[in-house]
Amino acid sequence: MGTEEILNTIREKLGGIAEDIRYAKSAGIIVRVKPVNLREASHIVHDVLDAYFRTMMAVDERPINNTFAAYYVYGLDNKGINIIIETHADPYTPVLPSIADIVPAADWYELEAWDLLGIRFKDRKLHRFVLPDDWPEGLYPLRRDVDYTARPSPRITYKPPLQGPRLPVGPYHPALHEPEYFELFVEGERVVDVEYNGFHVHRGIEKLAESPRFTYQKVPFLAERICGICGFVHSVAYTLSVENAAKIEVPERAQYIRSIVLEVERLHSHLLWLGVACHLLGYDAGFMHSWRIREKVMVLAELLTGSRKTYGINLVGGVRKDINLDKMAAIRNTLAWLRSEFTKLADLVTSVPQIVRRARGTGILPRDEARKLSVVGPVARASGLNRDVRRDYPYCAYRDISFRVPVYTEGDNLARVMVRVEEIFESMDIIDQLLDKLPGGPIMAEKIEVPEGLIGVGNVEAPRGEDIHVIITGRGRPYRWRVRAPTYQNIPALKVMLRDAPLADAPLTIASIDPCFSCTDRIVVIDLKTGKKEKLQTVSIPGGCGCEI
Amino acid sequence: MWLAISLYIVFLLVFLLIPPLYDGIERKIRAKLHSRIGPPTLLQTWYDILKLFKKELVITDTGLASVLLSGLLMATVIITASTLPLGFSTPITSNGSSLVLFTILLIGCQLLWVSLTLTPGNPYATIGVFREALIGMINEFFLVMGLVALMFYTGSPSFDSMIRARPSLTYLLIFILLAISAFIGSGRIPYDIAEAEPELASGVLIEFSGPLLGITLYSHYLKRAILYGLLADMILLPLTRNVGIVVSAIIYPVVVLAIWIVFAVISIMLGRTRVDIAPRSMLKIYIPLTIAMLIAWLTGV
Repeated sequence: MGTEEILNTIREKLGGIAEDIRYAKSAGIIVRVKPVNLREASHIVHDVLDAYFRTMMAVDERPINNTFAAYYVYGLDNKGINIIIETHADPYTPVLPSIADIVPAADWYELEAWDLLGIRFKDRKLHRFVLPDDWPEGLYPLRRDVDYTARPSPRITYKPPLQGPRLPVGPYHPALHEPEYFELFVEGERVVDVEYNGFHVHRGIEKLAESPRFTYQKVPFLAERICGICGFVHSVAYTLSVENAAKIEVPERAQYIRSIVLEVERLHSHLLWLGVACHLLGYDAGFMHSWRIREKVMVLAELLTGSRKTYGINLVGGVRKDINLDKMAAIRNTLAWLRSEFTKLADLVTSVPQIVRRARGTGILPRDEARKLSVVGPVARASGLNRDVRRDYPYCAYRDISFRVPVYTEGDNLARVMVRVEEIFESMDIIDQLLDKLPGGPIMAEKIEVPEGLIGVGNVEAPRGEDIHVIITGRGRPYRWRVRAPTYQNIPALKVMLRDAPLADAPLTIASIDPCFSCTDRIVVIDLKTGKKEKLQTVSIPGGCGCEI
Repeated sequence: MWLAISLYIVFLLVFLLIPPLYDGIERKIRAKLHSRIGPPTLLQTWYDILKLFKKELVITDTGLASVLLSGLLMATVIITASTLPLGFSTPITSNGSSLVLFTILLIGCQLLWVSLTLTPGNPYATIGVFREALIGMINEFFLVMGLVALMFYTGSPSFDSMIRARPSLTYLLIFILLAISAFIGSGRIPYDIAEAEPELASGVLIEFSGPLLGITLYSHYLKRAILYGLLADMILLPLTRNVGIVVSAIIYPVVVLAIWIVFAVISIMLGRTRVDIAPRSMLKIYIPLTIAMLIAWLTGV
């Protein structure tokens, strides 16, 4: 089915309630509806057209059209096209209907839009979500009239201590390598319910990118600092969103180099995760050998980017470092060694009886629950959802190569292990193909101009799943930049996965989504007595990464 | 007589000093198998314990009970060690009921360990204690069964009678039973679920620090050495007739070390079990082994 046919279908289904339906190549099919019709439109797109919920961007558009806007991005995976429902709320008392009961995956997005922009959602409970408890009421940091340098005085809050059969996991816990908080309600050794409290180190990166300190070409360096593990993923997703919006022609060679580095990042991330999973199951030999192999991948990353963590080579319009013949030979040598070592390790890990017994049948996420929550990445593929952005919404050089997407139907921790193990082999094959087909030519676009007022979507299949950035272009920098990391989409599934599971498996189950919290953030410490502020740089902790925006 | 007592005291002191050293050796071996360097010296565990003793004592509201019980635990473990033959018959083990005394003290150590770890009241520690008690109940039952079988086999509740034990299938099966219970009882992976660091943040040890943790860790290593020492005695005591007491006494620490390393390597190759799987897996091993032991004993092989 082509774009025109999909457009016709949408006109047929939504024509009665839509104010406008248009197609933008940079983003997808955009359907503008009135708030009163938002629920019906959401139901049609999500349930009738069977589209996945991908992200939602709330925007303060008062300087442009005197409204607050919300863009709900859905994806028809099998068609590779987005359907964006656009709606606008009153500028003085912004209220929208909640769609969380129709689209469960939208729950967090509504809470975030309330927290950061003050958009109220009807018929649902709203509470503090992203902002810290001591953030003052009525101050919404993503509104355009709040300066990015604003540092309001904290309000005094009181949180009663835990009572009853609850077990705190976090913010500091050996199973969590980053500060997040899970409250497990337990009966004996069985988890009966779980509450999540995250965003402990939210950094306001989206707001920062809108500030005068940043330009389009500086934001990639900010974007890669979202995450300590998959920084390149965020950088590429951002640049893709800008390039799509501004129709910038990126040279083919640069697209290949981006794909190669993205796959190197996947190898690194999956090897890291496999080691952590082994450690959580008490198999430290697997942990150490997985990280021994991973070390070579970091050396490879340094060769390609000048940094052990794939930072600093991506720009809007291309890349900053080329790959020469020496580097190609080094990549091939490393891959040959990696293939041999990882084959042995994978055989070993999957033959340890305790690992197989504890991973099989635990942390189950049934397919229908996974679908409802629109989970992404290995979590989705282990629950029978055949989703992979590289194939469904091809970007960079992925449209030129062939690869297999491993899908398991069990939905348990073992399935998630197996998906990642197979993806490591696939990544190695992908890099081989990319090297074989690497075209010549420049690595940077000749002309980079970004007009104002355009919308663009950039998506990348991160090691943890789909990473999607939505942008509205502004003058010299993004007017609004919305980042949605894969963990944001996957964490709500933990409630299903942890419920009624043995307590001993809770750490593995939490780790099985490969949660990506914050680890390399800059925090501001305020001495409440003197009011003195001091900026600190925290140290990156292995085993985790930072995807809190 | 005084010479024998003096020699016994020297060997006992050596035995009391070696467990942290053996742990240091284990850490180096484990590091080698993990392809890493490991601690800078074999004495690292000793340095760790000594450093803990130099730190301040930080305790919870129920810390007084923890302090008292940790002292009692260490004293009991040291007394238990003194009732163990050290490759040769000592003035204490030549007593007619030394094996019974040893068994009672060993069970006492386990009960004190559970009581100590119950004192902090931390939810993680409480879950760890529950796991420890569950594993301990099953394991101690078969450990006592193995020791009682040994008494019946040698015909006396004294360690000295083991010198007269003849190698047989029954003796081998008793040894295997006690070896498995020593492996599990020494808190090794896959049965270290009471601590389970990534799950329970060190579980039973979570509230212990400074000297309290030093005492607890030392007692843990010494108990481990006692369990492996029992196995070493089962090998060496019957051999004293052939190799002599002096040789047996000298190679005793080496045999204990060998058992320590074998168990360490086994645990390195495995992952951690779960509290609901552990009892089933233990019974799957213990019940057929016990039946085989009984059949072998009744048929006289």
